[in-house]
Amino acid sequence: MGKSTVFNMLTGLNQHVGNWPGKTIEQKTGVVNYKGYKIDLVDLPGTYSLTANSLEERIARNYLLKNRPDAVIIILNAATLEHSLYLLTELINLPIPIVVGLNMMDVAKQQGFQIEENVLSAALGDTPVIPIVASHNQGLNKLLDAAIEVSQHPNQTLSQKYRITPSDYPHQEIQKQITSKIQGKLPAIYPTDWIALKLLEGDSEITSMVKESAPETWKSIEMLLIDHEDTFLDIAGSRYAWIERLVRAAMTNPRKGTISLTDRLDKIATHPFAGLLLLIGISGAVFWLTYTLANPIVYWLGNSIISPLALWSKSALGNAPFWLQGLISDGIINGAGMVLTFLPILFFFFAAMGFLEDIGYLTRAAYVMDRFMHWMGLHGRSFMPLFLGFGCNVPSIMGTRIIEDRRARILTIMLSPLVPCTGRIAVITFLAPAFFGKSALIAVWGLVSLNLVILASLGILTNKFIYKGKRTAFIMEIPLYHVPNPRTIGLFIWNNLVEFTKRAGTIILLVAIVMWWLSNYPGGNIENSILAQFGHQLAPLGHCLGWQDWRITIALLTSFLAKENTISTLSVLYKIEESGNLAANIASSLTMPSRLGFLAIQMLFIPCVATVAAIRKEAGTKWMVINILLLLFISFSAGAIIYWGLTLLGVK
Amino acid sequence: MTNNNRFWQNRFHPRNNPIEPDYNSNIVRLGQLENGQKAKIIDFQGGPGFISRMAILGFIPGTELEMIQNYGRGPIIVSVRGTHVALGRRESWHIRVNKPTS
Ligand SMILES: Nc1nc2c(ncn2[C@@H]2O[C@H](COP(=O)(O)OP(=O)(O)OP(=O)(O)O)[C@@H](O)[C@H]2O)c(=O)[nH]1
Ligand SMILES: [Mg+2]
Repeated sequence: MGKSTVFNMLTGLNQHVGNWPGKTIEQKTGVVNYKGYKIDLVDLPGTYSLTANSLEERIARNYLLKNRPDAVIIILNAATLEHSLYLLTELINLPIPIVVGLNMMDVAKQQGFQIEENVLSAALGDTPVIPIVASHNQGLNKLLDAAIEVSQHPNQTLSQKYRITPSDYPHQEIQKQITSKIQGKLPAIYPTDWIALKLLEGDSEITSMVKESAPETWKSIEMLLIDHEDTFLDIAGSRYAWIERLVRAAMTNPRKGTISLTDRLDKIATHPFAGLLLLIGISGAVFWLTYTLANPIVYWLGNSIISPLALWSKSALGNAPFWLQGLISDGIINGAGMVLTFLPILFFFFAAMGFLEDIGYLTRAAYVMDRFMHWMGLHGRSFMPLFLGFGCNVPSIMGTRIIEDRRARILTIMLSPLVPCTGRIAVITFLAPAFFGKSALIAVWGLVSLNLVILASLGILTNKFIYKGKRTAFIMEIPLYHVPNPRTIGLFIWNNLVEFTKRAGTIILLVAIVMWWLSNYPGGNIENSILAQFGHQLAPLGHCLGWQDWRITIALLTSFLAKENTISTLSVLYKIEESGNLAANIASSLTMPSRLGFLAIQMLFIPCVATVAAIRKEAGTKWMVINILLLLFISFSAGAIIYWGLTLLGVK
Repeated sequence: MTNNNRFWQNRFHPRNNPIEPDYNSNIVRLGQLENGQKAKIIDFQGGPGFISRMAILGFIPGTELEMIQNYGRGPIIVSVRGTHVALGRRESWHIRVNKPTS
């Protein structure tokens, strides 16, 4: 564990880092210039073995096999050495030079483990073993030195020196037989004896590959495999037996770790009842914190910086042509600039999220939620990508790669846009005080809960009536809690803020400019503009939902491009002349039921283009279309029900 | 495991391989251990996909496990080879262990 941390330290790039298995879901290349060498460093998803169970593990395995890197740096977690070594027992049978980075030496020390790296190294046929503390940049240069060294003598350092395979486990005879059967019949990129081994281990991808490439011999191979069906336990068993010997030789105090702090914290965090309360409490507190700390700053920025700046630029550009004046002050400053005032909201939100991820809370939350995810035919693992959705739905959809089962993965993808992302949360946080006064925070909680309730109901109904299926096994490593690392969390926040600012400077800015143009031409005033004409066409739709003002409908539609566009569009369309606070101006054109209905639709509307594209990439066009139609239907029904329900109840 | 892997399916299809009742009173299910109890794995009951994932994590017949958390329902946490691993309730019933002496 710590691959991405090492990668970030060495390349200066910003891969997502967090204390739970399955963050990295794609390979990522970075360049390191070191001692005159130009090294292409590739960060891969983590995997426990070369038998791949999920998509992201398959990516890692296929990279190693197909790209044949000059050297592989395998990062072991010194605090859970036995588990980490399993992958190594498989790697040393591949014809690739290896360097071992023994990471988390700080944690191991704290737990009272002492590891003699030279014993490890000797047992591995003099494979370099370098102790490191990735998060504090300790030992990384030595790691690079070793990697350069082994890559230059590929033949010397090859695994030939140490092979667990033939000598150590009982099925080598069969492996040889299978090897000879498939020799020369398969794509040359795979070592043949490795294929034979994976067949014995029951790897599904390899099995179907062999069946396809060598159909004539498959029958006889299958017979052999059936006769030796219990092999994979033997193989894994002999690897672990070897690991145990190794660990006993190289480590004092194995398995005497003091995990007491983790255990004590988990008494609460993973308790079926207390843990659930904690999860709800934490989520509520995050919103409360974001709201109370960030909103005053957001308002201050809007009222004391953006609006005056827009007014000032207008007078400063007094002699400039109308279009230039309007474009700069109304379109750019007031439109896209207004969205930039969301930065404090994002800051606090991502700080909280980064903190929870880095200490290792996420797997605990997934564990507690496992029971409830069963109602949807999913299990705890699906909770982790869904949780990421609070930041942004795109990584959440990509993150579903850690789910092994296709049905569960598709269902999780379909549900994930219902998790309100920071873009939407920022919009409602921005509008809530003006819309709901003192009850603003309750309204924010209510709207977020509405999304989650719909998510759960949809999942349960789908599982019951439409898309039934059997759950696969829930197996998840629970990492030790870590002391939060300010650097990791800081980078996480920084990354997300940069992403957001980029969005504000590109798509949001573009939409603001287009909106300004459409609302000022022809004629220079909004009432005769193209946009107004279009808006009046849409008026009947708005009326059903209680929006007397067509500008609201337009704003909602622009949120398809980026959720924050709702605000930038409204900001352009409600010019600053109308003076006072933007949110207050919007509020004055809506009654209470239509305010709630509007925000509910905003929260449930079709996902933004980036998310739609991610759905298409991960699940295909069919599911993308279904998702769009589904959310269109859900959002408008929810909005209409809320509006008409409250109106009939007489709420004003 | 994909569906086209027929031989695995036949072998591990529930019809051919139902969970047998434990006549031997020295055998219990992992899900029956109480917090803090230790026991050794005897065998698994489940498909090859399940068993191979467990084996990779070091759950191998003979391996000693310690129950960290079991509240009778919902998932459990066990310690295996110095690491904590969460397992679903169903999975905890597909692992048979020897009866702890204490
Ligand atoms: N105490 C300590 N923590 C570390 C060290 N190296 C990494 N971490 C933390 O370990 C966690 C996991 O680090 P990552 O770099 O994301 O792990 P990874 O191997 O890329 O994980 P995946 O991509 O999910 O396979 C993070 O919370 C890091 O801050 C270390 O040397 N000491
Ligand atoms: Mg990573």
